[in-house]
Amino acid sequence: MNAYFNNIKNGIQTVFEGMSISLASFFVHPITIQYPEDDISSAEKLKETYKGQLGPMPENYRGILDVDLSICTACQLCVKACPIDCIVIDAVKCDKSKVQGTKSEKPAVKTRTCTRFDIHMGKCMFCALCTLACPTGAIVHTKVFEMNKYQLQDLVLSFVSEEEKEKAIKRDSELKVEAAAEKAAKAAKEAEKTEEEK
Amino acid sequence: MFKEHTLNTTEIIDLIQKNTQIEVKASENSYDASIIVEPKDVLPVMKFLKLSRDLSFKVLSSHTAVHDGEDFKLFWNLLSYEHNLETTIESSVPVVSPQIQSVCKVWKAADWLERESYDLFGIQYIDHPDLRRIMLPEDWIGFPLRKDYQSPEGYQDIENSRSEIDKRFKP
Amino acid sequence: MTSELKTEHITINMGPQHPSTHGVIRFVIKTDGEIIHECDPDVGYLHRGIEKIAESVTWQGFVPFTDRVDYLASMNANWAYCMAVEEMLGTEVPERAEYIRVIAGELNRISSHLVAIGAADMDMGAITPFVQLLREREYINDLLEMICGARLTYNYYSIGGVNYDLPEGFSIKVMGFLDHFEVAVEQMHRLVTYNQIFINRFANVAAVSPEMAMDYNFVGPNLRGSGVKYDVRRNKPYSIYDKLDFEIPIGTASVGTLGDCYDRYFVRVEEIRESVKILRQCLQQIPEGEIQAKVKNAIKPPVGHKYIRTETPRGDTGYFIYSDGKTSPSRLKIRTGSFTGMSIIPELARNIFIADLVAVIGSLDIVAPELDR
Repeated sequence: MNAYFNNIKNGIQTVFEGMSISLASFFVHPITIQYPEDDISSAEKLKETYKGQLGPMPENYRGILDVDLSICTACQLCVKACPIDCIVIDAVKCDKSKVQGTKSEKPAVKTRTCTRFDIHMGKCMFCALCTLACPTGAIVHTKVFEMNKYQLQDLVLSFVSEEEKEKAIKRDSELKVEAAAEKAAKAAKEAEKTEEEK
Repeated sequence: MFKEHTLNTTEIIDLIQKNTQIEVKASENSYDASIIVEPKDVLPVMKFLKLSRDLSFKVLSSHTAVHDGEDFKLFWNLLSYEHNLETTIESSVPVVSPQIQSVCKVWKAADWLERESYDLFGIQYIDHPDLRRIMLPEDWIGFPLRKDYQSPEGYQDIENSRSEIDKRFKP
Repeated sequence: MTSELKTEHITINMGPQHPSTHGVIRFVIKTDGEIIHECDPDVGYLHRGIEKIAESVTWQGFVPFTDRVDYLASMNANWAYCMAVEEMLGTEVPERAEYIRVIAGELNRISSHLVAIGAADMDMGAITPFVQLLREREYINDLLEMICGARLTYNYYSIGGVNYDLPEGFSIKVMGFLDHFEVAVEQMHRLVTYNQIFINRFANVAAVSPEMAMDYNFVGPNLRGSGVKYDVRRNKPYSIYDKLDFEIPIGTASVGTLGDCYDRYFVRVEEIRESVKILRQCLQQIPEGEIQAKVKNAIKPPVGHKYIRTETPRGDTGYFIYSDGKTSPSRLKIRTGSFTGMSIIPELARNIFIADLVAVIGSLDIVAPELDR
């Protein structure tokens, strides 16, 4: 009998103790970040509207992928690192600076240039294995995470436009023609030389 | 913390052979030392391992199969909390007739582990109380973790085909 | 006269989408009124064939998939897999990387236990603690986001070390959090753990004896709740756990019988405090140095099998790996705590109330994707 009443007494007491803790939380700033009203991209912007204790997005946030084609060497390391095959790269060998119109003082070097660099963001699982594998830091995660699209098709990011692709292929074939011509000239010269020697 | 002498695999083998008169041997060339047991001897050996006072492997930590060529290799990972021991029992059954004695009577944990390896490898456990699929639906055809398994074209009304976008990424 | 009345058993479904099943699990229950006569858990709704996927991806490429095995503690899942492959290759992990691993792993353990405790409370009808604990978890998510850029599926550990070094000011932030958190844990105790109504719901429900726990291969907090003092971190130390000082809490039957729901619940709370202790030690001791050992790009461990166990929040998680010397594992089996914990349900759920089944599932801390893999 005594235990029964003790039980009830304890029940009431502990409930009120819990209630006091719940009541206390009326007097602190709410922790919830009001998305999208609060801008979480940087600490300053977040401070303007939000008084809680959570931080902004960190600098190394793993959002959707971005590629800097001017430093990409089309080495395919990201393709090999990707466990779900959501990256695909096609490349040709030509002087990249001429194709992309970037001016440099160094003479044009023949490097591989992407004619296709597609990432299927609908499949990507944001594991960062590609960014870790990249030797030049061309493929990076951005802080963007909002990417709603109506079609699955639209989630495929193509970083090389049709124009650039055509330019690269054109330049590639030009270079091939030039190289062939050079080779022919060289061969002709050599033939001349041997004839003269004779 | 546990500085006292723990038995190694050869000592465990000696104990098994002395007490049960069953021929077992140690496997070589692997990371974990394991004890190879003939399929017909699995149940008596397991019973001994659990009940022996020097060993008391009261816990079946894991059981699984590996499809290796013509055989299924079966592994039981046993633990003894009392003596802080760990050992692996290995056996193999042919793929054409994968039958082995269930160890459910020894450890209750074996029930679901055996159901899982029946589900994914098709190994028949003799005397298992309730051998049916656990992960896959009842009407699934084939055993997915076998190396020769072909993924089906579809299941009921769900088609299993690759989308056009996927084909562009990996033809 | 009442004994002559015949009652029929009713078969009902609990789940697959039931708020207290912690994921997609179905229980087929045969009830006699309010009392469960027979309960058959139907698992496999979240079976994604991760073990089959392992056969077709590279050794490094499988690390992000381990995140998906147990999404509440992906750091620990990464750890178990990476450690297994490192042992197969014979790679030495740099000391700083080991410390970082322990810090990240213990932070993740706290956040996982917070969800486990909060969800168990919510199953019992106490909604406030869940929100309060999730608030604390949010701070941990922020901390983990700082070191790796992701909030849930971290992919932070790599074979041979960790992917990124700790950012500047990280240890100060963690210390600040721990000071605040220890107060919050006390508050949580007053809010729910010592609440008489809560105790009455959890104590003396579904007690598991130590023998039964070992027979069913209970692991982690569930096993320790039954009074068996076994922790992989202590009994088979890996990483730097042998250098750290921490206790292993076990069930003491403080309010009910040994191994009941309350014991399992309370062991988790105590473990959070131990994790805080470990974190403080690690932050003080962490050395400078490398964070990544040199590992080849295409690794091919020699033929053989390896079974490795680590202590994750849901207990001793085993990775069984069979390599045939190729660029991907020939067979990879993940033995998780939820799977073996779940197999006890048919026996535990006999002759208890339906409402108590909810308490049992809540106290076992079952995560459905880990159960089905």
